[in-house]
Amino acid sequence: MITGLCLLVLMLPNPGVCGAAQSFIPETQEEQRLWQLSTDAVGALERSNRLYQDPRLQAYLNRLIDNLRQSSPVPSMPFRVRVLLDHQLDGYAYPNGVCFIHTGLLARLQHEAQLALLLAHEMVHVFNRHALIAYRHTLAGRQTDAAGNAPHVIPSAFRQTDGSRVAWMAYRDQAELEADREGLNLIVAAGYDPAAAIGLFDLLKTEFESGIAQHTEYGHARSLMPRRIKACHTLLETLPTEARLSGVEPGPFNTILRPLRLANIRLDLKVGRLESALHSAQRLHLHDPHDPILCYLLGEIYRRQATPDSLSKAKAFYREAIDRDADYADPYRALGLVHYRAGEKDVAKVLFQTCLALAPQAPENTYIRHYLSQCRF
Amino acid sequence: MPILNLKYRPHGRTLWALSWVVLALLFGCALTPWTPTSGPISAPHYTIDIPQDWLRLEGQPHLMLTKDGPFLQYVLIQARPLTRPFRYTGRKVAAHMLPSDAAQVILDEIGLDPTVNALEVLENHPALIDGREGFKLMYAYQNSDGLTLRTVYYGCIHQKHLFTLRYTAAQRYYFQKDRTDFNQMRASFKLQ
Repeated sequence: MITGLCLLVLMLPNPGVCGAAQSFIPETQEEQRLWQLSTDAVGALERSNRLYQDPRLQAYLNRLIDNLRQSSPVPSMPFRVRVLLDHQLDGYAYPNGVCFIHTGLLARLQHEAQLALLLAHEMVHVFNRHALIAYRHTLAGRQTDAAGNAPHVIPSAFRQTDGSRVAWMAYRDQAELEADREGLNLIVAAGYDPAAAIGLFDLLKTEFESGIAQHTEYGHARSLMPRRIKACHTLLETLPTEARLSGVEPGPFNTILRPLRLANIRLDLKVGRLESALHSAQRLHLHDPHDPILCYLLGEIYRRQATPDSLSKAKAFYREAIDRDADYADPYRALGLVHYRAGEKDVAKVLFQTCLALAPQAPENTYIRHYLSQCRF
Repeated sequence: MPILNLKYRPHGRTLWALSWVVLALLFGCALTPWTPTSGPISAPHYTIDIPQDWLRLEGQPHLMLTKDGPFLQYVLIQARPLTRPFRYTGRKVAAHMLPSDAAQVILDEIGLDPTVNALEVLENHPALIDGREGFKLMYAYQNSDGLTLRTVYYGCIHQKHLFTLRYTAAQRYYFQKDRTDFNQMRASFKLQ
């Protein structure tokens, strides 16, 4: 079926982003139905507790989308983006122009141009109606009934409300390459540095190869990645020199993404992905070695590893966090726990008392008071 | 009041067991998985006294009890090997963990359970279980059908197991109705 889809996408006429201006409303009954399904799925995701909400980040993403949209053939297209708290490297757009990007993917981006390419790529999937093509293909591929009528049952992939299921078929080979190619043209038109942007694919390739990014659906994405990288480099060679050098400034990219990156490290910790959390935290720590929150999170990662060596590192990072922000209660508490567990109750006692004084309402305090009671000889 | 209201759905951990129960009940008396139970029960790693009027689910490695049907209230006692990862986070409770860390593993797991909606943690504090340091959680949540359930969850680490004693019931009426029985069970719980 996947091969069939790729062939169909290849065979269908493709107006492309650089073609004549397109309208962007559902043109047929089946597309209206697809949009309705998308609206339902998007609503379910937006009501879920997985939505990552950061008004500053949302405003930044909206500005970026507006910029890309002005350079597209459908400036009025209702494209919008939402961020989901999910550690997996994923991003997808629904046919009605609502795009979801996981924190796991956003947290790893290193340049605004990479984010622009990611969004432009998803826009092209929507502009070029890749999901509709896949939907038609799926319907056509189903057996007709006894009277020869095509079935009216919605394929199961289009009924799911779970993330990428509705649009997954659009993410295959030719559709992907087409979205890369036209997305790259779009960001060049918007003034981004394409050389910096295609670092997105190198980054994904590295993540896939490192084994940190593990997902059952990554197999195909991983196998396609070398072709995508090669195609993008080929396209880069054809761009005029001025386009290749006229990158916009990264601007506030790293500042705005910092809370999301920290949230994603906490999420990795929550689901026990210590290696991924450590990888992300170490990378951030290189650029910001004195950030107390980051030092605390590194301490948490090492404390969770619970080896003698990692506990020493945890203590060092907690101390660093305290040195950088003496009012920050969390590292006192965590350092106290390390000492308490090691039987060093006199040290733990002082640390617990300090964290209780700094954060008297913290939810963990019931435990800390109990541990403190055990420290009184 | 029906014994089993199929509209209600418990959260993930017990889903398999409850599915089995439903199937068994469909087959009627031939399987009779629920048997009246009271008095002392001796399991491989613990003993516990069960008050009157409870039904026990037979043929399970854990101890599951109910009075009015598991969709309305149940007690679940488990000795979970520390080597077994939790379903949604993939994390394990380790022997070296302090009670606060073990409680956080449980809360993270519940937080990722897709059948648990609108989770509200009402209590999270230290507790003694047969004289051993452990934790007590109390939380409310809605299942997939919007029914609000409340759970009291005690846990402690002992040797190679995480011992958990859990009482879950529909928040309205049922939770208070049998809570005293659960407290009696917990007080009688002895580790071996």
